Amino acid sequence: MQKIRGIAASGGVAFGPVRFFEPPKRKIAARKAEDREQEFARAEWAREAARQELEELCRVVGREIGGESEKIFQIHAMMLEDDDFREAIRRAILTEGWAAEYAIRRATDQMIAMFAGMEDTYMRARLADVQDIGQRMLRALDPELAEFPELPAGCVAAAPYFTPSQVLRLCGCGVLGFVTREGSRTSHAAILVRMLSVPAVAALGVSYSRLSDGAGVIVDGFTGDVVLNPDEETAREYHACERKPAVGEEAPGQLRTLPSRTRGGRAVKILAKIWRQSDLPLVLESGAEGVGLFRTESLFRNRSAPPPEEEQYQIYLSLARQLGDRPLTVRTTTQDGRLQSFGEEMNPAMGVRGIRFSFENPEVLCTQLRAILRAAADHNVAVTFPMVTSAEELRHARAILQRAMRELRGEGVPFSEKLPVGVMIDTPAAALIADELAREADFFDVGTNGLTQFTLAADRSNPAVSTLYNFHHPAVLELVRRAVFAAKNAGIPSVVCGDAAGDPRMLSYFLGLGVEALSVPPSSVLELRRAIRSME
Amino acid sequence: MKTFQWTMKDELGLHARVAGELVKCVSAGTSHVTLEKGGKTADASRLFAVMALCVRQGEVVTVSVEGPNEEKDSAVLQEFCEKNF
Repeated sequence: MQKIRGIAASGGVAFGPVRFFEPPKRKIAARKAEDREQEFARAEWAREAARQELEELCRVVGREIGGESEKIFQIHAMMLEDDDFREAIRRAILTEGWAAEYAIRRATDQMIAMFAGMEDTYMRARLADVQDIGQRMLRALDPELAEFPELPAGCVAAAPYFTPSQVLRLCGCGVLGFVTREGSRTSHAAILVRMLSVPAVAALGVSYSRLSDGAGVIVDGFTGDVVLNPDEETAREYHACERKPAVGEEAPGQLRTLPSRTRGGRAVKILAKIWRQSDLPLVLESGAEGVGLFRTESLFRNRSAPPPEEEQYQIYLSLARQLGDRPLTVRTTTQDGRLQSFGEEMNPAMGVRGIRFSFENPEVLCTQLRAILRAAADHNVAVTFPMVTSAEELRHARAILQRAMRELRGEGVPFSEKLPVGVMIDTPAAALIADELAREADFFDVGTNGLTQFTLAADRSNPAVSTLYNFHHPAVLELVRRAVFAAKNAGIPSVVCGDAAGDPRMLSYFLGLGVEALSVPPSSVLELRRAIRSME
Repeated sequence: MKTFQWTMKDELGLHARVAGELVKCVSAGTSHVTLEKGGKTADASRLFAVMALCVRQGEVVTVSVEGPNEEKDSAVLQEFCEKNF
């Protein structure tokens, strides 16, 4: 048994034999056109056929999958219509005299080369989309040129990367999971896989070569682990959270409105975390019961000055309004693009982050708190402070909050006098003094990512120690337990967030502790609700 | 010619789906629209060209709108940019 690790691209656990997905590499001959006009007409016909297919596909995926899935294929349709792409094909045929197939291949390759040369990983991932439209056009001319090999149901599909159309087709064949050598969480294929709730691990890199055709694997889309030739005990452990499409299983559409309650009737609140304002539609669509954590760094990054109070206020207000009665917890910023002091620190994760950053820049904190206080005037808004390691720090933060309130009062600006103040329990220190912090906080956010990283002294973004980064470690679980119990004893609510919160294997542990709320990415909400509803 | 500047706020930058919306918005008008970032320019009605500008969060793009309806098209576009990015 061996374990390799990539990027967790889509949550869930899948078992099955690996099957390499290898589209046949039929060489497209560099054939010259006999009749240029006629070849051009063939290419135009292929484009039109592909466009019509995409139109139909948009309708189908919009209906069957929903979300923003059809947008992916709308972009493909727009790429087909792009003047530069069309011009490249036209020139290859009418000026250079190539046959339609070869001209399409060349135009596609040119666009792929453009994306492949980009530094930005997000943009680089777009080459799979260009590949996809090229194949769609070629298939229209001759199905054998770019046919889709099918894979047997029940397998785990492996490839350097997948195009969105391949993902759709393979899910239709009954493929249970995906693993890729390249790729990222933001590729359109990954977005689609998440919408289809199929587990996937991307970017295995050199470890990809350790996969062998037909060998059994477990794909853990929560952690990014792929277990090769799992032993029985490991398989049993994982089987506990395998997705079983039981008879009468609730469809995602139904799950959106069903309560997150165990069979025994215990309610567990599922909140969603967001990184930026534009994530909110995903939250509303996911059926989450509120925003557990809005990480505000996106508002501060890459600008010459921190966003003014009014700008922040409008953003918080707009989010709170759209959420209605559902709660919105805003985490104060841990950085400010203007003051990149981190770059000079030896160990930035343990440097001027979180509340420490705020104390170095009290004006930034005060402005942010004023905006949050104002948004909370008529809405269910709370604030939480990250990286608090002593009760003094919490008192200091509260003093700045008091100052913000005094100022607003003096100016006659409406705000909430009772803004709930939370503390992130994201360092071992905070967990160990949780009893003390619980006496002075209104609620806890138990940040399992921070707890795991600091307790195990393993940076999760460093591949060399990523196998040590494990939120199942008993030391991490003990700190979570302390925080949750301290909150309970003090009579304040606690929310567990971070990757552990979205892992169904952790559910029985959290429920055992008496956790009442979990905060997860919007894409994990339905899966988690399904898991809760299947628990006793 | 009308010009305005806008700062990309989305964390993913001018990503594919957003670029698509922008191209659609430009195509709905009659003006010729050019995007400029750091000396590179792109015809805003061309999706691949817009994506190739690789606009990231925090970067400033200059938008030039030219044509008989430039006043109206520019206003529509500016509102679209402020709202969506």
